[in-house]
Amino acid sequence: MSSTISILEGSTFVVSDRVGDIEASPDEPLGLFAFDTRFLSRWVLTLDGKRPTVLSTDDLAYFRAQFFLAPSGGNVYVNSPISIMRKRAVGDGFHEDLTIFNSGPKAVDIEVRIEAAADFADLFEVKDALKKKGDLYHRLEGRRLVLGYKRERFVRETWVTVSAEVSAMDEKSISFRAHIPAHGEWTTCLDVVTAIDGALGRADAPLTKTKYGHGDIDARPNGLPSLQKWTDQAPDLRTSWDPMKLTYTKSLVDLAALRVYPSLYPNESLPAAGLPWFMAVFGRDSVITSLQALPFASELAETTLKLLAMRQGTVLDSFRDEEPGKILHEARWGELTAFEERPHSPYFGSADVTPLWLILLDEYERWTGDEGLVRRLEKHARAALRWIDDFGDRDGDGYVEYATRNEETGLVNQCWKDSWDSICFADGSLASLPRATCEIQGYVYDAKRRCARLAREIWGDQALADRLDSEATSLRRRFNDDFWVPERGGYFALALDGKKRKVDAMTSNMGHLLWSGIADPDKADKCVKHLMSDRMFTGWGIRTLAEGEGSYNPIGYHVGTVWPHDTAFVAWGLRRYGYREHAARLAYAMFEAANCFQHRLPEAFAGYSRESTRFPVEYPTACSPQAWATGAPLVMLRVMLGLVPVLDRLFVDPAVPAQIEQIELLNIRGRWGTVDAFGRGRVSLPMQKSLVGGVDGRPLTPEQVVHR
Amino acid sequence: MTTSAVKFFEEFATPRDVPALADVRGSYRFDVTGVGTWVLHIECGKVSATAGASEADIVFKGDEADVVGVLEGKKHMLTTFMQGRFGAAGNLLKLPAFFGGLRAAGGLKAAAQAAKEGVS
Repeated sequence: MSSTISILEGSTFVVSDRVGDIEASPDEPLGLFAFDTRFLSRWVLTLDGKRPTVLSTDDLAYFRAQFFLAPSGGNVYVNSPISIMRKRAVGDGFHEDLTIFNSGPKAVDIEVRIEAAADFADLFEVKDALKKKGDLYHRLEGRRLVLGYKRERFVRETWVTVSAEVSAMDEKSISFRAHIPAHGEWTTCLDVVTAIDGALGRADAPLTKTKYGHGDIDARPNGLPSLQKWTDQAPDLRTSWDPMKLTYTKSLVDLAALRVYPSLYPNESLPAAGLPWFMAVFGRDSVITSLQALPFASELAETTLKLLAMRQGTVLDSFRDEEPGKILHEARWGELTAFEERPHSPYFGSADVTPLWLILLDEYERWTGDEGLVRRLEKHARAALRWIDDFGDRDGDGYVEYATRNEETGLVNQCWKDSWDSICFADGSLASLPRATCEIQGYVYDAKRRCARLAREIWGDQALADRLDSEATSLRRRFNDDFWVPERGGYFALALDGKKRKVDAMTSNMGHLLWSGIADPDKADKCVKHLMSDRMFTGWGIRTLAEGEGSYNPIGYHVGTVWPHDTAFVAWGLRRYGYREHAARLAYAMFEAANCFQHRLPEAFAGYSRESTRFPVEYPTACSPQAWATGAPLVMLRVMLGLVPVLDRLFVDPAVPAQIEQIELLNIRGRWGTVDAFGRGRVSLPMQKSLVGGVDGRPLTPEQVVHR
Repeated sequence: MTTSAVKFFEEFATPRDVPALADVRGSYRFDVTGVGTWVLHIECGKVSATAGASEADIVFKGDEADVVGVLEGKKHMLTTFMQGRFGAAGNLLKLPAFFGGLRAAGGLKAAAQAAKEGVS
């Protein structure tokens, strides 16, 4: 059981302990956060000077939780007549209803106290324990305690307002003298506002009240359908296998929870990356999650495409790793970003997001038929294509490579495996910069193929279509030579390093090459054998780095753990190349793993073999919920049902494990209106993990599968 | 007294070509604290300024140094805003293309000057 409770609404979230208290410390990132700033670092309830203990805690919905408590100090022989209930709903701060019940026959008098403090730490300061450069202050205004922080004209305030009569208040606490009659109760509302004067779009309307008030129990997404409507609009999944149904429902709710409302489109939403550190717009995470969610909630993709286009790079800016046409990596609103001590306003240090954005643009149109958006974004798409050739390919060798131009605060690794040690040789040594990772070349190939279609069918530019097709063909031919490692049975190198040497670690990245279609079928076949081997397939998912490689560590962030979204991409790629049974095996394993995580897949879990642990082992600091892990089960459903949009029809070609019996996905919305997909469990999965050999169905060429 | 803001906006009293803003269409009002109010009218690369308050798609508020710094491309609009030095309200969708164009051109005046001299 987690020791913390997290609730969120947009980019505002509260992380508390199971009592509902907040006591932040460098290694306990608890707090009330909004706009990448911690507005409460302490929020502690005491009764007569003692902290209550927890009876039970429920996170009832993504935005609200309740805590049932009792005074501490009792024992099994003495039942306290006092119990406490805290109900909390987050949104523009939080609203808390604090109620104390007296079940005894006599009235009681209790001193109730809330200790409050705000350190206004930027999220980067929380992570790195940095010192503040401005000044903290406070004001007492009747029943309101204002905690503030000022650095030049950067001002953030936390307003704590209470409804009950206050007995004492100072800069650290608010106290009440609660007289509770026999069999009675005492209650107060506590409103905690994250007050920002001049939040973008609110210069004339400062944020002064919480979104939810006393008694609110239903989510009110900004101008968006309710949570109920959101889940109702998604396809209806029917299956006799409960773990799949529960995981699907959890994924939909978590996707709703992870929506953020961008200032440019306040009545629309797109996926943030994950709780707690990444409740912000991340280009890669938003694009990938939108891709995963297309059959289920295509509106996320629309907003993602539009927002990232509006904030596309326009200049060469080394501090931000910005280049014309590049799609952003990460946008932040905290103090360090404001004062340009961090480059996230926004930061552009991703080499893969630009081609991924192009892929999403095409895939969005395939599902929705929304040619209008593709036309409106044509200029941005052309700029993105120019970025690939003019800036992504830094040295003119025909491959996109990366190396930050901001050596102080830029990202070293600008691919999805962005930890410092992820791009390594088989012997564990690090690759030199600039690095051209293999999956990025796959994304570029796919982006050019897809944009050739858009140019031909929607933009009316046959010359561009021909050029992009020609470039893609050339890239594929060169890639299959330059990245192929013939040793150890043959596989694709993780990258080319700064000296154009093959970075020969065996990694899950080759699964992304299947997804993008750049791998030649004979080489794909060899990759599949590796991916499904014991060195890479744990029985739950695909390891990021094969067991036995020099840097392999089953709890290394990108060097041995299993990432659900990564495994989903592998399964998607297997399906593309005709490995239906292998894809089904991975999909089934991932749903089994989700079942072990209360139906919510974490960002990553340990790469231990299923045979040795019998359950997937948690990775210590994984984000949860995390957007693209939330999207992974959705991809697995798509993979098992074999959903492929072709013109105005949705092709369904199920390959469902026999263990599941049947899947029905009803009311799948798209350019075809709504259709239903059915799949019966006909794929027999052997008990052993490796499925290589004896597979029917020859691999399809990439052109046969997707590119029409 | 002629301030830098007055001088800046006076340069656009007659319409000037700013090709970097070819994709921008809208009216942008600048309330410069203690100095005055101007509206920039931008229509497909033609930029002109009028003094005085009138309705606009988007209204900015800030001190002279910050407003002029942003328009000259010397200050980053978003971080200036995030520091509390620069307010923006109205149709925010009019923002990205305008400031993207400004940054790409190295500031409004520089872009206009470059266009006048035929530098692309």
